[in-house]
Amino acid sequence: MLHKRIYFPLLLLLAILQCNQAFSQDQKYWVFFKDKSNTTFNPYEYFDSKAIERRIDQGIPLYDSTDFPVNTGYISSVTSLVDSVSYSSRWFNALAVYANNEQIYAVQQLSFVSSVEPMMLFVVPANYDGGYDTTSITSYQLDILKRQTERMGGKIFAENNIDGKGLRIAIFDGGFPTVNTSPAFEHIRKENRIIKTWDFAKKKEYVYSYMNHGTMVMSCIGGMIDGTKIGLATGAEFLLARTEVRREPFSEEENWLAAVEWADKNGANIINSSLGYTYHRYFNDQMDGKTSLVVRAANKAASKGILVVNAAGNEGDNKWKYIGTPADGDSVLSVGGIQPESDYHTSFSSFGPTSDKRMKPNVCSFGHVTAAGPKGLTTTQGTSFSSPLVAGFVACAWQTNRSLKNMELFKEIEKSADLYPYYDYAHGYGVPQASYFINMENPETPPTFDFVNDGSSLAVVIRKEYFDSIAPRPFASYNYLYYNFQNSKGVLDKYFVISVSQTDVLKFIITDIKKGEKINVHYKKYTATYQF
Amino acid sequence: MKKLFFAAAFLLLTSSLFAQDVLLKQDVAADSVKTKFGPNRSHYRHFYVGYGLIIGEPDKAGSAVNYGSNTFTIGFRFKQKVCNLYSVGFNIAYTSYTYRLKQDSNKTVPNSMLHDKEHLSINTVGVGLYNRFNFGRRGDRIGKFVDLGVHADWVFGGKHFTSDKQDNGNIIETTIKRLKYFNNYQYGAFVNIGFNRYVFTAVYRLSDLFEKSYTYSELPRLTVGIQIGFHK
Repeated sequence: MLHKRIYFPLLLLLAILQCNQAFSQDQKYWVFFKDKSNTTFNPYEYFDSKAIERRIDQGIPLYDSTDFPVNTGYISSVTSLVDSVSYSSRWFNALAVYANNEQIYAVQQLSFVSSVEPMMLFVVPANYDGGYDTTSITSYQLDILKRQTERMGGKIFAENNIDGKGLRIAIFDGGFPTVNTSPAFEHIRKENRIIKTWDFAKKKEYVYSYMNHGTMVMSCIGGMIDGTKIGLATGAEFLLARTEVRREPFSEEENWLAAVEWADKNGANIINSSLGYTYHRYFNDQMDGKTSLVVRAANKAASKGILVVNAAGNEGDNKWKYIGTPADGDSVLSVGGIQPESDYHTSFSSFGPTSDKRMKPNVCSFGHVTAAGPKGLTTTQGTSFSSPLVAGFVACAWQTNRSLKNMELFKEIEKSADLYPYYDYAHGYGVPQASYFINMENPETPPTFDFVNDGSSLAVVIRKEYFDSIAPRPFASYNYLYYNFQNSKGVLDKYFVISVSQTDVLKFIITDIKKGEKINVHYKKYTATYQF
Repeated sequence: MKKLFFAAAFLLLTSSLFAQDVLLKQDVAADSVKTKFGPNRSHYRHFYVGYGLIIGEPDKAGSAVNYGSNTFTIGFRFKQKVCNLYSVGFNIAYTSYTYRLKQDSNKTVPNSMLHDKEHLSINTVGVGLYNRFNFGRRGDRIGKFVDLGVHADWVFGGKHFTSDKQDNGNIIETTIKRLKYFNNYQYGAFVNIGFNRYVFTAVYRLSDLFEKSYTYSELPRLTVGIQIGFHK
């Protein structure tokens, strides 16, 4: 009996040692260097002509130290100490390495190493699990297909021959099966507008396999079937990067970073990324636009003149609730989703604000779409598809005015949205509108309601000429009233969407409202603020 | 009737006064309260289920068991985070043990009679205390961990079951309850190796299952199994 009682603790110890060994096996790290001394760089050799053109157009210097290569001496020194090196990042002056604890300790001792960080894992494509597949198009699918671009005023772009021509869009996703064969992309293939492809997981050019998510995303940017546009940028050029690999979670952050530098090098104007990192590696309070490496990479891409469009995420109806990263970046155009039927926030679309209380998402579009999958047209849902719809819109908007810098366009996209200047953390500024870019005028909207203060209460009263008493409830598009309470720091404390069915639509007891608080109200394109 | 009329009138009036539908309502200020509850927050709790196989050698050949001797657990686990690498916590669990006794000439527990099928089973309710060592960087999730802990259980509902097929094809099954030879309490140690919701577990019973006065050979002490935690 006694020997068995000794045997068990020994067994335990052995198990712990085994376990510790298993957990401390080679891990992937970023090794950051202090400088780029003794490196040379020729932008005309490194960049695609489009990338040089974009830099010149936007007044970005061609010789930027972040584009210089990593010092080869540093690379060899680190390579000799670790198991393997998988990628070197110019922008972050860093190496992605596989190493064990002892090796990484030795790397940390090198005088030119500034820091070492374990690599983040597990990326979540922002498609929602409730999606379904069908190969035969139904009237519902056809209806959604027409409305997903029309909701942004796609017809106006089409009437003016605006289709994203001359713009280059990079798509980061998990694979693009049938993009090389599907009729939905024939117009792109015919004109050789798939400029480059790269599978960052397998290190090869072929990307037309694996997850069909990328195929559907691409169709929502520039796909077309029987002359009907699935996305608006049917004339754009494409760079396709396979970055997401579910079976190799260690690689994904590295792949994303490598892809963003690749997209920059190859002249991308726009990046669409329908992914997000959430609770697997972060807490809500780290969604501050500064913490994650991918958001820093996204912001860096913006500093190089690229407009990064990212899905807000599909965490709205679960515990995480808020946007992920890199959608938290201040230079990232984050896109939320709305229901096609109700025309307001769809439950799964992640909410803002960021943890440092910045407004997110920036804009929104349909979160339920008809897309081209490997087996034909399919109805699917997720902000994964809201994001490419807006990416296609961005390409068209940029085509209307190529002199805009990326962040100027970012602001214009926000201004074009149908709730602007009103916003909330479910819709951002609303759905971007093509009419804003074609007419380039923003006519004063006449007041559609009044604030009535009787000393004890404040009422919002709809003007009779704008009140539609016979509008069906609750899904009466454009008969919604949006309002929010904004505190003295400019942060929204509460926000609402209500369906209007009477003229005396809101009443607040004045004593209930805090000093300095604002009430912002939006109804039928008119926004007004009452400040206490 | 009059009351009914006024009630109907009131309902009509109120429905016209508050006829608009609130489609979306978000209270950001309330959401901004920093939570202390979460898989990798200050504290966390969740339910779990587990299935284990009783393995290992008995003290003597007379109490050998067959493959398929098993345990089933339903439990509740609480975790208090001390730092990113270390937590402490407790489990409260119901576990049923089924020892399928090997039928051979060496058999002595609980007697030497041989049957077509025979098992001893007990139910326990107990508490486990554990230290948790977490590995690797993670967000708000359980992550990879090793637990080292001890448990103490109250044993109830002991049962001795036999089944024998007669020559005439009839099967006679007997179940004897209220057995005196089981101790009322047991204790032991456990190791869990976890990967988020999936936990591989090994439990070793340090106490004796049978009362000393019965001089029974002890049944195998080691159980290995898997648990699934009900959390993200």
